[in-house]
Amino acid sequence: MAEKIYDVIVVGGGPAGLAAAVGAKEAGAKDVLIVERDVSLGGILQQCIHPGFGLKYFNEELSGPEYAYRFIEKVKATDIEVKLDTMVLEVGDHCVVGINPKDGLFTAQGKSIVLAMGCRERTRGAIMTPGTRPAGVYTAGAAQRLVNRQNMMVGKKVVILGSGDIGMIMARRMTLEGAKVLAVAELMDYTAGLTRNRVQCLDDFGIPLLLSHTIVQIKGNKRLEGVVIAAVDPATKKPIPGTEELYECDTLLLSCGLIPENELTKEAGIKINPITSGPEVNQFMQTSEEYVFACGNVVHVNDLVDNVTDESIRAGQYAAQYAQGTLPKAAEIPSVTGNNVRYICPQRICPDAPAKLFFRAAAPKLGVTMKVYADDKEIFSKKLIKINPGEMEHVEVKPEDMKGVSAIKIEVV
Amino acid sequence: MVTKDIICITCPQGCIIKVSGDPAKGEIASCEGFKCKRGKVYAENEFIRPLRILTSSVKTSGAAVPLVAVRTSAPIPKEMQMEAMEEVKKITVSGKLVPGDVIVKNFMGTGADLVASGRLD
Repeated sequence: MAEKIYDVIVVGGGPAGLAAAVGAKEAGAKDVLIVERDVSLGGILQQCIHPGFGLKYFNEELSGPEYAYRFIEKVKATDIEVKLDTMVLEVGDHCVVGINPKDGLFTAQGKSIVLAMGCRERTRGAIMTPGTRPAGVYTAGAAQRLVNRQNMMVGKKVVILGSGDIGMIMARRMTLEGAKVLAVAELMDYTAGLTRNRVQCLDDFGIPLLLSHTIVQIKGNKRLEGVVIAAVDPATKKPIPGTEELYECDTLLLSCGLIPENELTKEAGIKINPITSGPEVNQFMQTSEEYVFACGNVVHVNDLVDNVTDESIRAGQYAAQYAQGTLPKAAEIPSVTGNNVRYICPQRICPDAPAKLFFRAAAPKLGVTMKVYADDKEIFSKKLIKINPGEMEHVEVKPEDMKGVSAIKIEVV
Repeated sequence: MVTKDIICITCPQGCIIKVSGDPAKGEIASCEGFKCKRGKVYAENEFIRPLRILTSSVKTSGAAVPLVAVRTSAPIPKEMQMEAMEEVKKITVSGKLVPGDVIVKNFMGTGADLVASGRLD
């Protein structure tokens, strides 16, 4: 069946997949294929009509569709093959099994495969909010797609649970579209998303942000009629009895975190990191299966598409090198999380090559020092005004600092 | 003399910029804490007259998709956002559009154009 062997097959045509395909092509890959399940390329960017994209990568402030357009044009300018409206069912043995209305069930062979499936929102089921099951409860991203792409307004009186970026951006969108946003409730005692989104999406419109609060009940039979919000103990995250307050509303948007979408990865037997919920990678974005690379939100949820682009171009380049047999193979050392570091990506480092390590803090703190150790030796330190789990940090480690070392550790003190 | 701490929204760093002066007269006495030129411009504008890029979507006719994304080509006064949304709602576009194509020149007299931010085939 599979007569052609691609150099690189990219699973997913969002920002990560587009950049990986372009990166692979630029690094000399001959036949590159993108497989995308939606009917158009661009992924989530197409519904992110707000500005703020591209400041790092293009040094311009773009909307999501504008950012996507630039990469779609880059793909179109090459001979990269694209299969739209195509669901990938399985990845393994240098093959991608997909299905679409035109080709039916097909198998495509690739010397390298890049996983770029992105992530998915945590749903009501995943956060286990008690109450009835009325209409009017949406994930923030689903509401965003309905409002921004499908011209369907989702409600008039809105409560948002979770202060993730999409939730805050949807608070502004719903307000601009004429709805009343009563409050954004956040379980933690800090904002989950970027500070600038709190300022321009909530503060600008006088939308109350209730930190250390959560929804303890959803009310309504056919349509949502209200939610009960209670304060929580910041230490235990348990609701404090007597603080419950009813907010009458017809719509609840959930912005409670994103989970990398790794069904294909797991079925392929690739090692998943329990903290990021994404595949473990080295600095070449190579997973535990050496011909499979991964990039973007499928690996770890990023705050900025610019970072996704950067990482994905590299993943594409390394996947192309692997296909051409020029990617070096070497023994790897682990990256280890120290004090106040939740995770580091990549989890494995090839010490012969420079490695950009991305990490997130476990808790927000002001006036901190980031320290990097090669075994017990401090090799880098930098003072930071603040550290916030919602904002990813990074540090670059050089090969000369990793010679003969058995692990690299990052800590924030 | 007024002094304000302004959190910059230009990029995710969220610098806290201290601006003092007389906003009513449009006078800036000092501006400190910015890490880039964009931050300085943002903080000074925010002190005197806050500006925001407005993004939305407009209806299409005769296209495969019901909406196309639009934006103002430059920031417009913050307090005009709701009024501007009312104008955006009245617009219907057709034909081919690529990001940057002007839909309304000098939108509501702001000097900024309302431009397509998505693509319409």
